[in-house]
Amino acid sequence: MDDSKIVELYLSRDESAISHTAQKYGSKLRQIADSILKNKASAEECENDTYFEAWKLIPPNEPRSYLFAFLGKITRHLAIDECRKRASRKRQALFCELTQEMEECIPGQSNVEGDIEANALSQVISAFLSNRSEEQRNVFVRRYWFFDTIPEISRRYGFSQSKVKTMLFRIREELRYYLEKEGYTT
Amino acid sequence: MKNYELLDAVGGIDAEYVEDAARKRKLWHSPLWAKIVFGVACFALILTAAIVTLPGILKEPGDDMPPGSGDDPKVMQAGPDKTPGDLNEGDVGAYGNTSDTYTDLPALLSYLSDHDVHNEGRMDASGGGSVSPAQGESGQLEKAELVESTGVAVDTTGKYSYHIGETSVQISLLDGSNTKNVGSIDVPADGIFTCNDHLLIISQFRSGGDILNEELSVRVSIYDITVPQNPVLQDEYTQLGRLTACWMVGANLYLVTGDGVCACGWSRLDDASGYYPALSHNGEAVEWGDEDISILGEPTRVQYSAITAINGNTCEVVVKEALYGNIKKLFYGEGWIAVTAASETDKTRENPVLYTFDSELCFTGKINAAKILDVPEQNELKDYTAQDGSYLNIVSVSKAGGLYRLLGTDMVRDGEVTASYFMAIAASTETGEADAALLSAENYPYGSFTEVLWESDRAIICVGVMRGTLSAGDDIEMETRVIFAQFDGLQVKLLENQLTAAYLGGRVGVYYGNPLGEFGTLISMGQGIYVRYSNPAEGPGGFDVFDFSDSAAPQLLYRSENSLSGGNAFDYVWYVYDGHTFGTLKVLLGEEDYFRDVSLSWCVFSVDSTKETVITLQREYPLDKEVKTFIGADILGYAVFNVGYDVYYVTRNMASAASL
Repeated sequence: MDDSKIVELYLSRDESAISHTAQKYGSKLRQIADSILKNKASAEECENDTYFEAWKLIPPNEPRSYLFAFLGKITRHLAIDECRKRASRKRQALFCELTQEMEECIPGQSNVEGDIEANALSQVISAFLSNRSEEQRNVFVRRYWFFDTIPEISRRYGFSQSKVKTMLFRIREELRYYLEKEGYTT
Repeated sequence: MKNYELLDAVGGIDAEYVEDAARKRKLWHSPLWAKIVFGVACFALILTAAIVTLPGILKEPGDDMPPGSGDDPKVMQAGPDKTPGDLNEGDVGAYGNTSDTYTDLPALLSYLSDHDVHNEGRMDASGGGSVSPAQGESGQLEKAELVESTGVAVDTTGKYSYHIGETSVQISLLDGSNTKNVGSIDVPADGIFTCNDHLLIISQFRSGGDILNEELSVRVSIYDITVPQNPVLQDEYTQLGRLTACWMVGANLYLVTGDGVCACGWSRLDDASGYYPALSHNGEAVEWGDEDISILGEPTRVQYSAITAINGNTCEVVVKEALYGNIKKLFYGEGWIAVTAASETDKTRENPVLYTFDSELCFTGKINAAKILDVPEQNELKDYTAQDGSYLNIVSVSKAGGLYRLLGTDMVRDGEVTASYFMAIAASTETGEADAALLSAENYPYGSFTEVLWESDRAIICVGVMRGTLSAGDDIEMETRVIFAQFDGLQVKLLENQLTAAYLGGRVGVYYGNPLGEFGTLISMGQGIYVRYSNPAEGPGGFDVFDFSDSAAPQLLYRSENSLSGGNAFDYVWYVYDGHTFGTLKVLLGEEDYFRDVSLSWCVFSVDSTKETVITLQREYPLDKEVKTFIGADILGYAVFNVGYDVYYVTRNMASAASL
């Protein structure tokens, strides 16, 4: 069933929307959650929570052409939140690895108090990505949105692992510079 | 901003980007040979279609990957079935030819007669860092270990030493406190080795030209030392060029000289033989044909490194090869030699490529760092001035477990922004696989590699950094940071930390290090414990003790105060007795000015990381060989060596070795 029809089911409050969503995107959403949480049971819980959240968010949202991105965002958010709750316990290696990589993107200049509005930051990152090549953008998104490992990205695009690592390193440096220019500082 | 906030914010990026990344898989990136195959297949298909009058069907790239191409097209298999020209998209690989453009020197000369580049920036072939210099004893032929010249060599009996003096080679009878001079060879030396009953002396000399335009050559004099105190000249080789490096592996002496000749129409030599290396044996020319020449890449001038291996027993040339190219650096180790070459014109500058050779000087492959790091292989210049781009510099090379390890830097210019990185690469020329790591040098202002210590699975890298600006009135402070390159097979990591150490160097009036002017500042005590000279004023006056057993968490265990006064200083000449004891030379200035009446003492220190005072002076005693020098003379230079349990030292102007 295409995305537009599934969204229609949500809008008409037809509960079969959930089963259709699960059939089409369940495994991918579980994979995203599992990449972060490294726990099958937790990943399934995350998946189920995603459907619950999607039910609450559609309407008013109508992600007819980007349903997977919409759902995946929810799953990421839930999984990252779960990971942060485990702060006192051992964090998953990949999450630690990715947050460490993200550290490199954080500009270090003067002190700026206050929270940074998440949506605004997402828009800035989107703007940054719009100026990257398709190749660089895909690699960045696979790594930091989908939480793919380096070998997985390497296999997916037929790049050597060294090329993937180098690309990510350079993109992170450029993102940091871009955030600085846009006025985002710690 | 927290790192997880940033990671979270990535989740809200434009959905189109997410959908794209979810949908798209393998981008077309096959090796060139696959494209050639497809090209042929396409043509054949079209031809077939034309013959049978079927509509032409052009296969889109990517539709049919040849079997065995795998997920990583960059992995190139080397093998006898690989033919020259069937290449060449690999970052690393073994190739049939060192150059895709030139097969012999005449072809290169023909091109350069109209295109030779006269530029100030040309690099001479220079001796690069060796691989963990094996301070083995010369003369041991059972194992083919690498031996570097340290300025002194010992015969196989262990009773006689030969060391580089001011203008001659001095012969000492080693007998503890009774050591004495027993003869000399009136030959100035730049390198010295023993090989069974032979003594090999390497000397650079001016063979022609004038004071402004010298023509240099290197002579290898082989002496029979069956009677050690009475060497007899047996064979002599002369090779044209400036001495780049010399070392021994087993019984073979490797000699490298560098030369360059302008080949443009303006100053082209009438006789083409003038562009070839010149080697003679006992006055008779040794033929050097095209079969002993390799062209590296696409040179922009005639510049070559001539490598000759001479067997120290038979005194015969084992193998020779001249490498023509814009050679930057040479590196070597047991069983391998590598050079970096990077062509340059006033408009372009190549990033260096490492060409590798085995002990028989057969080409074994090349490592293209730019391709591995996914940066352009060539940068644009404007009147030799760098424009935007990524400029690589390969500083040190090692080889272990069949894999080459490269260290260097990457300077990136992007408009007004200039960033620099340290880089580490592990690569296999056999399989074509490679891995790379980059470390931002933002916290290492004007950072440059000052010392690299290669170990089995890592490199300890000392980086000199400058703090302060060069504007008038600013105090410039130098310090050393230590970073680690960790290798695990093809996996490589660069690890940094917060340790700082003294920036070390020489000073006016004292010629630090061995007679060849080489020194190391890190003393390995074993078990990951390293002692390093510290507290430089006019020279090091103390020591740091580091625990480098964990590259990810190195520690400074101890830093001693400057214990010396009056301009006295330690020299970077040391000897490790055991895991807890080392000795080092101390230079004491006399009361007179201008470095007259300089004397030496030997200080023995104990190292115990469990004690509060980690380094303790055990004993110090003056060395009775008084040394005098004058400012600007810089003819000192010391070497310390052991024969069994006896430890000796020499300086350039000592007639004999002396025991410590």
